[in-house]
Amino acid sequence: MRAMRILLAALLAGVLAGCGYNEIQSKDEAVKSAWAEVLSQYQRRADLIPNIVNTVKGEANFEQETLTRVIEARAKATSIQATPELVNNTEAMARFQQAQGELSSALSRLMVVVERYPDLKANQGFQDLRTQLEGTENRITVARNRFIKATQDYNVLVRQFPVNLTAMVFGYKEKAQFAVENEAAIQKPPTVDFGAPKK
Amino acid sequence: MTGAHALGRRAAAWLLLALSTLLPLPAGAADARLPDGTLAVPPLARVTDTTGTLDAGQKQALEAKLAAFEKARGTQIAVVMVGSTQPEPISDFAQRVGEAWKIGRHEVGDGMLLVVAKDDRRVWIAVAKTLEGAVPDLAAARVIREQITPRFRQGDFAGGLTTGLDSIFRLVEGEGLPEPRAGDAAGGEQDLFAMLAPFVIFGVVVAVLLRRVFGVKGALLGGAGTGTMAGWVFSSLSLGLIAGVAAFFFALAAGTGGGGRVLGGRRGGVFVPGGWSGGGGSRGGGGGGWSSGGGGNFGGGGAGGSW
Repeated sequence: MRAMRILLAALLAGVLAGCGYNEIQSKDEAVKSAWAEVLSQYQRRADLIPNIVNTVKGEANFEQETLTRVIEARAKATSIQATPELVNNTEAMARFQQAQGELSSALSRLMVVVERYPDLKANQGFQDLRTQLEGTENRITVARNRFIKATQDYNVLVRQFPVNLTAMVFGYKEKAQFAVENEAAIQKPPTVDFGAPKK
Repeated sequence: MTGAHALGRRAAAWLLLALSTLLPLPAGAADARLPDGTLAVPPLARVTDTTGTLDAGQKQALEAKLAAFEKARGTQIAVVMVGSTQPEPISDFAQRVGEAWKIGRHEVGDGMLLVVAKDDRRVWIAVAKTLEGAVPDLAAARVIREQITPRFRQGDFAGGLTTGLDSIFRLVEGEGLPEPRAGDAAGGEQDLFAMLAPFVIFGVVVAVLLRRVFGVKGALLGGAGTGTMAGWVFSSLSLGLIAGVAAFFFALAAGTGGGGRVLGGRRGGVFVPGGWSGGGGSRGGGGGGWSSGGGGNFGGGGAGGSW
């Protein structure tokens, strides 16, 4: 009889663990660390841009418009307070994403334009910066994908029964996901047309 | 003759095409592709060459080189040579391979991939996070630019890979990574007790409970469960066996065991965890007896080049 009671107690502990509180904790933490990684990689890119801009500026008569766009997009992106709490705010998250997306597209435009300047292309310092930027963009992609995955895991968990009840009781809400609708447009590399006159 | 002949030839061509999409392609002939058109991640191996560029001797030399470096330094490096990674960029393919293989020691995470897409004329070095300090993107780019692509341009693929790897080895050696443990494969045996203790203790508790309720069958069940769990976690048949049998006998000893039933019980206790953890044991096995340390976390670091 005593054995049965112990067995019941063990079963109850199992049920309590099954309500998902612990799982919410670990997945919540996973989203946080994935987000921290995303932020640190975006920061790495933002830190790289002044060097790139300065190197490009050294090139005589470089297309100013492209350069200005990069500088402005960076200013805009870094003006948004990138905090860990951003994941709990869908609107702020969308703004952040929009700004970073614009910076991505301004940068890739810059890298395309650079192709027209053979001196710059041959410049070893610029080559190195370019390699670093490429590596950073890759890291951003990986970090973003991992964040999307972690957020998805978390959101699915807190929406499912019976964990949704636990989440409700303890105030765990769905987290903001990276939107993908406008993503396609932002991520698309700009088309280059060397022949056409500039507008 | 033309009409019927051409028709026949066209039909044959279509048939071949249909067959080629249905049948799995022989290894080495072409790269396996996923439904979305991207390359499938090849099976784990130190040196993969689906293009047939490296001859057997060159491949073996590279493998020996990588094995020697792993033995000396612990760092796991793999070379993957494929035809084309289109439609995805080589960096994305390298990233997928890195995420699938996770090469690098479990507790250190020092893994690296040297990927070559021969038809795309591109090289990519993917570096796991642990090695991003030893081989920053710029260093990887320099190795590619100065050691690898000049030789690739002349068609000397084995030479490019060999000198490229030499440079990479030097970079990794400069980093103060932990030394490989003596006899890494057998290393687990030393702290066998520490490894198995939690399983056995937990298993004994469960087995004792089960034994109270179900008798010897319960203890047997507990032992089998413990063995399965330990075997699965460590991917080892023998460790699972040890844990299972230990839990079973502890559980029996904890109560009053009937002599005659112990014998029957032991047979089952040995058999069940064995059968289960066998499946788990095969997980670790990769290509050619080499297994990934599973610690490499590839975060997109590395650099590429073309020739």
